[in-house]
Amino acid sequence: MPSSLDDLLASSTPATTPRTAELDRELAVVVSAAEVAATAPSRRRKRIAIVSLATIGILGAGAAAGATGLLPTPWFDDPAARTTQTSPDGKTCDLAFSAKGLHDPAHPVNEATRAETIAAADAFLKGFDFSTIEQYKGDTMRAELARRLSAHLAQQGLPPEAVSVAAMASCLGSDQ
Amino acid sequence: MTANDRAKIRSAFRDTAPDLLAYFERRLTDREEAADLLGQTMLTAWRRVDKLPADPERQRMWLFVIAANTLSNHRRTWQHRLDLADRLREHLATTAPAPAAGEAHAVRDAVLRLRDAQRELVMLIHWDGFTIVEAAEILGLNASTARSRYAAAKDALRRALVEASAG
Repeated sequence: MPSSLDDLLASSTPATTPRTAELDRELAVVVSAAEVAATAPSRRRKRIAIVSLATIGILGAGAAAGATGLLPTPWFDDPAARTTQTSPDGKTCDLAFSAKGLHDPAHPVNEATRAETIAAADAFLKGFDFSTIEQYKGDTMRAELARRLSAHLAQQGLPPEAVSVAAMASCLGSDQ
Repeated sequence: MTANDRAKIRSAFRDTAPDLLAYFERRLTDREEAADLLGQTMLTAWRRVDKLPADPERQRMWLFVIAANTLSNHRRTWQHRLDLADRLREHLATTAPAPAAGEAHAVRDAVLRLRDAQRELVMLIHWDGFTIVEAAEILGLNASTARSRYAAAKDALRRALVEASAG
């Protein structure tokens, strides 16, 4: 044998999925989802939807329900992005985000531009690394995410006012 | 479960998840199953978070012991797909690793033909990069048993490769 057995064994290691930023994002999704699944109490989780203008509401369960009520949210099952956050009152919240078109009379946008902006916002959310803002809590996190999305869209020459970001918080332990 | 426990296990997952995924990928014919087993490993770890060691290196070993048990259970029983691993499963389905070269393929075949107890030891040491002592811990063996089993495995591999090159 021309090589040592150790070398041969090392070279026989099966290739695995290349380590890319995309893989890291998908792994982060599994980490977050496992936390939510493993720590969910037996009682029904409360889903609370928030829709805001080009911003994302990550609020305590009570505040969110009081502000917007419960909304029909089929997109929650296939959002652009998910993460978890601990609410100010200590509850663990599963957060989901999707980009939606916004028709703001104060900022008219043609449909082609709106579609392009929604696609860009969706891609931004899908690729967003929430670990970069995990130090922000509650509304501070919302503000930082909104700032980054607006900056990203503006950098591409797209109008941030053409999209809204729908956010849903599903929090453990809500007694509402 | 304390906030500190949560922070520690999240950090352990972030550091170890890529290696855990690779561990499963190297052992499963269906690479997409690796996503499910990774998810299952994380669920189990969360439920035992009170046992999570404080030291990061011990945390890694702790997670690999859970992963090894998860894999063992998977081989005995049919497992449900986990919704939480859906996206990762899709990613693995669309991302093909590089194929093995001819010689590597022959060596891998020889590894896969080893007896079960020897094969996993060789894989842990040469494919996953663990020491003999660490591999022994993951497999629940004492170190001296692992050493003798490893020596026997290498003898068997040498014989198999010599026979393959002669044939």
